Amino acid sequence: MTKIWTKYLRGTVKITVEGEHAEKFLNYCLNNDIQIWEVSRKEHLVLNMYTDDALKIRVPLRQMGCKFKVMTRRGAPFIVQRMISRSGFVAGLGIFLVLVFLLSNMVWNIEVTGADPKTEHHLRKVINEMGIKKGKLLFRLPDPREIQYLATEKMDEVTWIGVTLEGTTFHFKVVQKELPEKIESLGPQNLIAKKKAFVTNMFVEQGQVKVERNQLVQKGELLVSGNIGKDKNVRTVAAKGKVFGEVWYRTDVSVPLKTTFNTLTGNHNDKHFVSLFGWNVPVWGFGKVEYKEFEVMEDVKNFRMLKWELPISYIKKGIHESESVSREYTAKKAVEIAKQMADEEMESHLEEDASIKSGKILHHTIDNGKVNVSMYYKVIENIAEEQPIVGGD
Amino acid sequence: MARLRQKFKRWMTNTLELPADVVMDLPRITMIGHLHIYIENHRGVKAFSNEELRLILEQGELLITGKEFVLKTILPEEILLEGKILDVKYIDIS
Repeated sequence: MTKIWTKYLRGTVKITVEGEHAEKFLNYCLNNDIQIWEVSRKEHLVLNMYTDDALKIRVPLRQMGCKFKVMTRRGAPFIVQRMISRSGFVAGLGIFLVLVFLLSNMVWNIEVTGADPKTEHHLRKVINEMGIKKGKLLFRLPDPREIQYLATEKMDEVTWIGVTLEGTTFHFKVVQKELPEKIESLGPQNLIAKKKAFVTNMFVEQGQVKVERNQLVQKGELLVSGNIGKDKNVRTVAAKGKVFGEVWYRTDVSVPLKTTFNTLTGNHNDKHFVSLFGWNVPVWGFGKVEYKEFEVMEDVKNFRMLKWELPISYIKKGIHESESVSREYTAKKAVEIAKQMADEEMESHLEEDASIKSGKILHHTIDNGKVNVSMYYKVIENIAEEQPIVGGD
Repeated sequence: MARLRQKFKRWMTNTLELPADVVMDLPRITMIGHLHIYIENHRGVKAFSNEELRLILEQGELLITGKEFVLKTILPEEILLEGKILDVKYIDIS
């Protein structure tokens, strides 16, 4: 089997040798390590030999008074020769393959489903800015997961965007946020207290105020009544307005005194690979990594040909040096941090028109290397809640 | 001197049971029916045609006659001949 291959690669010729002393030629071949096979003789000697050997025997043959003619040529060298003589065709074939390859790796279509025209327009604009356009090469774009993350991040009006790449088409599946429609409750209603609070301020548009400033109200207590008028002129209306009250909140935060965490130092080393049938062949970035601790980020790009995924892919391994940092707080500092965290947490829970009046540390304890802080907040917020009046007379 | 050495070699093969082809530079001929003949330890081709192959040996010659001869392989010390072999003959053995 291997012999057949070497024969093919070296190229063989079938030649005829004309002349009386053909045996001399046979012996010459034997003595000079020229391989011949399938020798037969009818009128002339017919034999097979390697192409490169055939060039060497010219001169000795002439000395022996023999002539030789080449009958058939076989093997790779002749095919290469033929390809060179038809270079136009070969170049065309090459260009065709390259074109098919490039076109198979291009974005041909971007489909958006599940979005209304306005959102779709916005999404198309966002992804256009990210460089996803028709005719872009796929392996130069970020992968779908990253696109998904970035697009979802940039668009406020959607809950989720699913990005899939099917062949040469990007599918964007959009789930839009359903903003609750403002309930225009025109029906008669009261305003009641959402929680236990100390009334500080009131802005009532419509309705009869039932509480006073600096009054303590319990949860569910009537603040503004929808029943207005006196005696026989009682009407029910939709009470509207805002009642601000002082509400108390308690927040517990714990901060560990000592923490270790990993950070990247910013030093990194990129290694590039071409993967063939699962074999990673390094292309660029050799040498050992000298970082003590590091994280590896892998970025794989696949190539396609028509419908099929090629077993070739490009892998970029980013090796980032990391470092574990330990941080230690003094008890005083930890309490301070805990307070800050609690403030932030409180703030994030509050509605827009609410404000923190004061925050106090109720008490703090230190155990198990942690500082536990309980904070007490006075918050001024709208405590009014709508309650429809049912079965009004 | 040469005859003495020849005698010594023959004695070696007889008493030490060494293979004769190794010690005495004799050809080793293997035949497969009348289709193939495989000759090792030859010293060159004297004549070759469609019906005849004459090989030079260490001593004398080997004449093979038959029909439709094709030399499948020729190496410095080996020959594989294919065809219809009718006769294998030693010539001029002293």
